[in-house]
Amino acid sequence: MNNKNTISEKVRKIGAYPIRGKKATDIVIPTTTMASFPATIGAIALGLPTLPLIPAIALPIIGSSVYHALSDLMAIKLVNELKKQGYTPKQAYKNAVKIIGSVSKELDEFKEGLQRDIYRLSAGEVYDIKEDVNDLIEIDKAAIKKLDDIIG
Amino acid sequence: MKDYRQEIGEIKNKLLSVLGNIVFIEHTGGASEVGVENLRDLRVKLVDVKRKLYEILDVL
Repeated sequence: MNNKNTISEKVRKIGAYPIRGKKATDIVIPTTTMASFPATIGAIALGLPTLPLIPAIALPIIGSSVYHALSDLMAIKLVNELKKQGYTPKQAYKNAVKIIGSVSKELDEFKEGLQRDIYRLSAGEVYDIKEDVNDLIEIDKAAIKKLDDIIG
Repeated sequence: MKDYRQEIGEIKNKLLSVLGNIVFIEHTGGASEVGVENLRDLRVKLVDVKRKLYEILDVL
């Protein structure tokens, strides 16, 4: 925790809330990223010029329900903020495609490394990684469902 | 050995960002601007990512 800060306070200020069973303070982001909150955090993290604050706000409250994290109140605030910054749906789409491509590649590397190192990990580490992967699956499913809602 | 939790945290950040961008498209009603076919392509990519995540679970 030495070089990281929680962002729970800032998250509360924008109307977000922790998920039951998860503490907002459980999740931290690097101080360097914190410095830019609530500006273009994604841009710093990902090197993308037009990917604003969504990741940083969603991060502290990820847990059992991504939909809760993206509650209407919060989504409206985010959308308005992004619109103000001149963000367009086309940009959002392009960034989503670019990022998902990067995620896909990283998952290949992740799996490859894991297959090599799995026997060097403790039971606790394996458990934690499993939890994290399950979180990712939930996020991915939520994104798919959102797209289904949009496409109809 | 790699720090797997750190790595997965970064991937989580990216995936959340994808979700956030989709939410943005939804709330701005930008589907027609983006195009349904493009959104379907994005969905295919997300399904592929889900498959990879389940493969990782199998390794664990």
